Amino acid sequence: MPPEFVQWLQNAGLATAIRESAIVYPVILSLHLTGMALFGGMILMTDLRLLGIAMTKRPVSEVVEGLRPWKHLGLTLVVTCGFLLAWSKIAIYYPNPFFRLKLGLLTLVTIHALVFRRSVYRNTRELDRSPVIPGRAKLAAALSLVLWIGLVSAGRWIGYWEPKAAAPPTTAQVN
Amino acid sequence: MWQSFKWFFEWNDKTWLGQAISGTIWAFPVIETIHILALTMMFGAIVIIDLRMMGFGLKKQPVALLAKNLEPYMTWGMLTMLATGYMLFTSEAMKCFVNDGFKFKMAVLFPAIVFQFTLFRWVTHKDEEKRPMLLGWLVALLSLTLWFGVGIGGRAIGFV
Repeated sequence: MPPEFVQWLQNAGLATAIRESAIVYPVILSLHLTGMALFGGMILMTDLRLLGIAMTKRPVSEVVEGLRPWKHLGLTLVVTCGFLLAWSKIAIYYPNPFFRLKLGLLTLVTIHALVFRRSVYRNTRELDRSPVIPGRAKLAAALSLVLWIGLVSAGRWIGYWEPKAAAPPTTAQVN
Repeated sequence: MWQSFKWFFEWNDKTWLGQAISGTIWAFPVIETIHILALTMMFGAIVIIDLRMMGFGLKKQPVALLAKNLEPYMTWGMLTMLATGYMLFTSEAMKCFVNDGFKFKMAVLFPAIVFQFTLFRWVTHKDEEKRPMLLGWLVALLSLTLWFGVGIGGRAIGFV
């Protein structure tokens, strides 16, 4: 994207209000993390069940469907807050390689969801009837874990990168 | 009271581990990333138990069974967080000493840990029939509040 366009995006009223308020940005960031913890926890348990590691005595459908509403709540929270955070400082974030990595992983996560949604996550009754968990479901779960761990890590590393990193970032500047 | 712990922070500021971590640019971010991934594991397990105790989600599983199924994730998540959290702390102990976010986090963290292994454990393992609904709600809300407070305190360290 041309820098002028990125700057223009960031100059929008709402984005400026978020960026310049001493309290709003940290509050949205905290909500982003709350959503992440909720969503991440639900994803982790869903995937561990599909891999046959956690809650194996309960049917797949029960675990996956029982956690789904909370997974969706966490996703909504994390995406909404993430979008606001990114928008409010897009001119700062846009050149950041970890931010770009995170966007890339976000794209892969979306593709993952489209590919496996029908055959795995919305097909839990079928998985219940199968004597062993099919390879496709295990693959979906393993890929999901790798992608989300990568995404969370990339997100955390955004805060440690500085343009033209001549001097090592000191922890005081990191937030 | 806080001032009387100063020697502890000063000692931690000089440990070889802390020096080693603050001596590189990559160690702190790597450890913090593990800290956050472990947070997700622990918080996820706790939230699932809390929600179940309030009557939401996974209703077919009795609370006690669900709690026993998820306790390893909770415990290992917490141990990983404490280990990585200590490493982060010892690499910048004197900065933490004067940081209000850190003070708040510690003030909530210790009660949260004690609560998790006492009241929380006792109530979640209790026979559901004999547990008053209100007690379940109170314990679940208290657990959510305490851990949310720890998270807010942790996040605040980087801002205050």
